[in-house]
Amino acid sequence: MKYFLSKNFWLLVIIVLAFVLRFYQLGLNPPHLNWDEASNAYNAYSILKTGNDEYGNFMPTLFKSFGDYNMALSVYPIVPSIAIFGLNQFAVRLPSALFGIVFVIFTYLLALKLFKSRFIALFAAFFIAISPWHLQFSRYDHEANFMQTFILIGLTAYFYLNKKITGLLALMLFFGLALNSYHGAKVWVPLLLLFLFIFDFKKIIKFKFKLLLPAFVFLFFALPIILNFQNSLIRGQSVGIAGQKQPLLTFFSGYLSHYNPNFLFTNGDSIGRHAVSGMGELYIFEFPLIVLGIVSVIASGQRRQKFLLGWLLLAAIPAALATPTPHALRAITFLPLWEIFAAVGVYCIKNAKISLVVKTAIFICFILIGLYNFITYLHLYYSHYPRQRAVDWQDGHRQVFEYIKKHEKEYSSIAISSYYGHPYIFTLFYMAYDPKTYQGNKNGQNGFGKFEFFSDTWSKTVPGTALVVTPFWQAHPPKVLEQVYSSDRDLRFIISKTEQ
Amino acid sequence: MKLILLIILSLIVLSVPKASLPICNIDTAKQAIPPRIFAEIAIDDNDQNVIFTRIVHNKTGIFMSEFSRCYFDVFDFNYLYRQLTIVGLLGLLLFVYKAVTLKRFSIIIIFLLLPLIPFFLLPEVILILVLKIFAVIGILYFIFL
Repeated sequence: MKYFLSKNFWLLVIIVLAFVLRFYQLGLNPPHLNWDEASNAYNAYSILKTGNDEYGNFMPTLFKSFGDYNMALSVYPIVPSIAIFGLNQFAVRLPSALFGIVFVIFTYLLALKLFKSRFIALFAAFFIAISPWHLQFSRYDHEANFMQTFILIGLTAYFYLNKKITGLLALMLFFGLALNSYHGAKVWVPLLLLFLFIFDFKKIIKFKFKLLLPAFVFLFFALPIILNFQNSLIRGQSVGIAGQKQPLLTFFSGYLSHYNPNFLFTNGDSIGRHAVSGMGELYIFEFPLIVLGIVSVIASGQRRQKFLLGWLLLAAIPAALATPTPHALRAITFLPLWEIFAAVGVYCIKNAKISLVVKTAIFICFILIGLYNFITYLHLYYSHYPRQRAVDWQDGHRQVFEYIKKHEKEYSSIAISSYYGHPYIFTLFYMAYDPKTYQGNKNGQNGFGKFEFFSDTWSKTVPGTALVVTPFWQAHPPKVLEQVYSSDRDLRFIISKTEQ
Repeated sequence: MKLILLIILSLIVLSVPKASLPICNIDTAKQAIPPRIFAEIAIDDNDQNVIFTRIVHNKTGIFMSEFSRCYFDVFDFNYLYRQLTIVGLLGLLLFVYKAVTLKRFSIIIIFLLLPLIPFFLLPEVILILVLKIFAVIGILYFIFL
């Protein structure tokens, strides 16, 4: 044990750092659950309590959700967390944060295998532990994070065991799990498999008939998609480029946009849930390191390392097949490539044939700029982000339901505006509404129990006093009970009540 | 035949109409400092430590961020594609690839310094010409070597 601890001291330090960065204020920042998180969480709660999803389907392999038929592993990993910690924001995000830590460990293992250098592996793990891109998606519940973690585990297992059929079996097992995590995997997993097959063709083809076993494993995991083919295409059809005027040009432009250094280092994704304003997806100090790393990998001529270059060229394809672009979430396929290249860059500087004084000066510069970038990121994430992006996270619903929970019994009906979208799912989540009771509703998105949801106007249908929740600008009964402010300090909701 | 192909591809790369970079230079970087500092500080807590505010929202940091934005505009692959066409873009990538594999690091450094031309208000046409020349050299490599 002592030997293990001393040998892996720095890796443990990095894991602790990754843990702190992923778990600090996990339930509080991002400031609110977005509707996808709420939907996944309530479906997980529903599975836990009844074995059915919100629509009453028993243990589904695709979750209908808002009609986009999410993959099974967008929901099931949350079930144990909700069973242990209850239906709350922390419990919903916990699996994603844990996957984030696993991702750091496997980045270390993959880099160690490909470069046979503990130095590179440690730096790659360190860079992914502090990566704004990876932190963003491991601090809220999104299945894309699960997908990429499964991909990374599969690849690592493959590279460690690729002389045996077990390597391929492990690869297919984890790629199969990835396939059932996120919509984008339907493009990314076959693409990466094909590339790996071409890359290691001679090695793989030697297995001959033994290949049937991994193929069977993969086919087994592909069954949920094959059996629900129409439904599993719905999401792709709604965001895909096929409907664009010039799909090929849109694809090409979208593909290139993911390599735009302004997207990577200065602006980031413009969608509020995907990035912190004022930052890129990567730290700017990593730019010279990444350039150096890519140059070094190209110049090295090492075949295994060149696998990373192929990955780099393919990673933008899934994201480019949809709009808008560049898209940090769909381009999560790039992780942990950039960080591995940056780590190789550090290694190059360390081994450069320059005087020790110059080398030390370079490292001091990098440490200072890196520290400045990191402190700025933390400040932007914890101080600016909740105030700038509260709307993107549908902030305000939680505060509304805290009020409703206290006063629910005083009213015969509760009407909630659907202006901010899908209020039914927030009601189910924050009221921890009994799934069994809800599953009996045929039209639950318009109302259930005491709750009614309306778009422009609402008129009373049930006798007695009603509680009405509207955006501040929407017509509401004159008797205002509460004004609800979101984290951006803006007035979000007015809670009012009708006369009897 | 190879020579004719080179001439045709080079003409394509050299003759495409020039696409402009977004207006981004030393002047715009300086101009962006006061409004950005104001906007950023307005989000902070009122009781935030002044020294900390100075560390995370300062002129140098914002200027460097604006400089990076201008610098990276040149390496936007969509800009390079519009400027050089797909043939030229592939030629340029091949040129850089060859420079790396042949360890001509001085050329790589020149390539990385190119964005300073528009940033320091020098005519953009210099940048475009150098990019096109590099792209044509890349095509030449592809055809003859």
